[in-house]
Amino acid sequence: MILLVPESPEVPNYHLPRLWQGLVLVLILSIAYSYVEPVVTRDRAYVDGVQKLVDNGTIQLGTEKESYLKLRPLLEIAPAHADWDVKRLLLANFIHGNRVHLFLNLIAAYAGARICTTFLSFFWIMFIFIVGGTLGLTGSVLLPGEYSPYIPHVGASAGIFALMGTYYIYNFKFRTRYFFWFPSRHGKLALPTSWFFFFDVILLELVFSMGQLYPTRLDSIDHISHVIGFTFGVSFALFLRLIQRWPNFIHTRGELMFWHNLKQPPIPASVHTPLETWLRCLEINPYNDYIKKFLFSLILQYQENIRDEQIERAFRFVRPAFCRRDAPYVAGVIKGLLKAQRRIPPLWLRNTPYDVIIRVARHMVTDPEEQILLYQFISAYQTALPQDAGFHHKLELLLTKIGGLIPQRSPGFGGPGGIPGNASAGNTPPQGTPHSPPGKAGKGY
Amino acid sequence: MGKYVPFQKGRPRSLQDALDEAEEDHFVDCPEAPYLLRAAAAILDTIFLTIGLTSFNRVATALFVYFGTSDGTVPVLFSSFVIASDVTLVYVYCLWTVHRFGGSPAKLLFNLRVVDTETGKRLELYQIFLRETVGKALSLALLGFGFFLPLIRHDQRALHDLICSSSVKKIDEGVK
Repeated sequence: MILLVPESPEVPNYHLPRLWQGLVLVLILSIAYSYVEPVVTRDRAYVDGVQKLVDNGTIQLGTEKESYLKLRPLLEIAPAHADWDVKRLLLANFIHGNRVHLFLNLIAAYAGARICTTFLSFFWIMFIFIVGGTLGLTGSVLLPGEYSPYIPHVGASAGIFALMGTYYIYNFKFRTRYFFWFPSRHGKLALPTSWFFFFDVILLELVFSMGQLYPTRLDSIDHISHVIGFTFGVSFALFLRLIQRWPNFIHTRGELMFWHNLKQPPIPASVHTPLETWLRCLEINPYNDYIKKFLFSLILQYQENIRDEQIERAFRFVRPAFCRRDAPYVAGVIKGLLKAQRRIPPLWLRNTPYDVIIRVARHMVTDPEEQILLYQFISAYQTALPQDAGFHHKLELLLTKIGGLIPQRSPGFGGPGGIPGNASAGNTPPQGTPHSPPGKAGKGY
Repeated sequence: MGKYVPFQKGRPRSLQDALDEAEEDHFVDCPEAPYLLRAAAAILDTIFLTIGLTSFNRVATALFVYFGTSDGTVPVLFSSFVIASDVTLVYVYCLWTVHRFGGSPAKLLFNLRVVDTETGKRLELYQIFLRETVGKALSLALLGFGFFLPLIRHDQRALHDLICSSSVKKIDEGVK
C-alpha cells in the first residue's frame, strides 16, 4: 500500500541507498514470475470454466464445489488451507495473481529493499523478504475463515511488509524522505517515519486482518499475512540490532562503524574527547538530531572548558529545519550559553532566517529572570547581520519594544531603558579563560 | 524582502506580543509563494486529506462487519457518526490548522503561511471559513479561473485570497 513513495531515510548523499539491491530483487521476482505465469494463466482459465458451470447450474455450490476447486492448477505451486507444504509456501512469495499484481509488487519490493540498504546488507534484505513472506503466508494459510479451504495464497506482500517492519525499527526515531510527484524542485519531503506507521499499519491492516477471519470478508487481500510479515520484520530487526550492538541514537551504518571503531581512553582525559566524538559523528550524518542534543548537553555542562571554535563547529549542525522542529531545545541552548556569557557564533546567526530567530526567541520569554537573555540574543543577531540585510529597522523596533518591557534591574542590560551597558555583552567570550584570549571576540567571522 | 518598513503599533503588552508583532511584520515583508509551490501544497493537502478520510471510512466499513445489522443495511446512528466524523476531520484539517498554525499541513511543510494581507496576522476563523467555502467555491464556479488568477496578478493572489483579504507567503527566505 503506497501513500507517498518513500524514497530513502533522511541521510546525507553518501549514505543514500544504492540502486542495485532493489533492482536485483525486482529481477528475481520478474524471472520467477515468468516461469510460473503459464500455471497462473491455466488456473484462471480453469476457475472461469468452473464459474460458468456454476452459472449454468451444472454443478452445485456445496461439497461438489470443493472437489472442483481442489483440482485448481495453481495448487501445484501455491499453498491453500487444506493443501500446503513448505516448498509451496516458499514458492508463493514469487507468484502473483496477474501482471498488474506483479507490477504493483515490483514497485513496492523495489522501494522496500532500497530503503533498507542504508542499514542492512543485501543478504539480510533477502533473508527478511523470504522468511517474513513465508511466515506471513503460513499464518494466513493456517488460520480458518475462508470461503473455501482450496483458495491459494500467493504474493510478495508479506515479504514487503517484513521489509517495512525492518525499516521502521531502524528509522523509527528519524525521518524519511518521500518522493512527491509534483514536477518542481520541491518534489521531496522529509516526514517523521512514525507518521506513515500509524496511518498504514495500525489503523488499516490490523482491523482488516480481524475482518478477514469472518467468512464475509471485506476484500480478497491477505491482510493477515501483511500483519504477520510486518511483525516478523519488526521482531527480526530488533534481534539484529541487538546482535549488531546498535545504539538507539545511531542512525546509519557509517555512524555505527565509526562508533564500533572508537578507541575509548582508559581514563577520560578531558571533555574534548567526547565532544570531538559527537562532532565527528555529526560530520558523518548531520541529520541525527539525537547526537546534536548529546553534543549540546555536553557543551552546556562543561562550557567553561569548551573553546569558541568548538561551539562554532557545533552550531554548524544547528540548521533552520532543526530549529523549527526543536525550537524550545535550541532556545534552552542559547539561554545556557548567554547565561555563561559565551558567544553565540555570529556566522550561525548571520545564516539563520529571521522567522527562525523569532521562533526560538518565543521560547526564551518564559522565565522573567531570563528575559534579559532575549534582549541579548536579538542584539547579537542584529550585530551579526550584514548592513545590507534589510532587517535592521525591524530589529531596532523589536529591540525598542523588548527594552521597554524587560525589568530594568540586570547589570548586563543595555537596552533603551536608560541603564548603561553593552547590548551585546552576552555575546562576548568570557575573559581570562585559556581558550578565549582578550580581544578575540568577533574576529575570524 | 526587507523593503517593508513596519510602523509603530503602540506599546505591546508583553514580550510575547512584541515577538508576535515582529513575526507579523516579517510575514508582511515575505515574498508571495510561487504559484507552482502553492499548487504542489494543494495537491499534497488533497493527498493527506484523502488518506485520512479513506482510512477512517475503510476502518468504519470494517467495523460495520461487527456492528452492522443482519439484513445488510447500515444503522442510521452509525452512518451519522461516520458523516459527522468526516466533517470534523475536514474542519480540523482545512480550517483549524490554518487558524492555529497559519497553514494547512502541506503548506506548513513547504514553509508557506496564510496571513492577512495588511497586518500579517493569522486569519480569523470567519475569514478562513469564507476562504475555504465561498471563496474556493466561487473560484471553482468560474471554471477554475479563480485558482489561476495568481498567474496573471502581480501580487500572486487567487480569487479566494482577494475575497477574504489573505495572502500566501513563503517564509523561509533567510538572510543570505
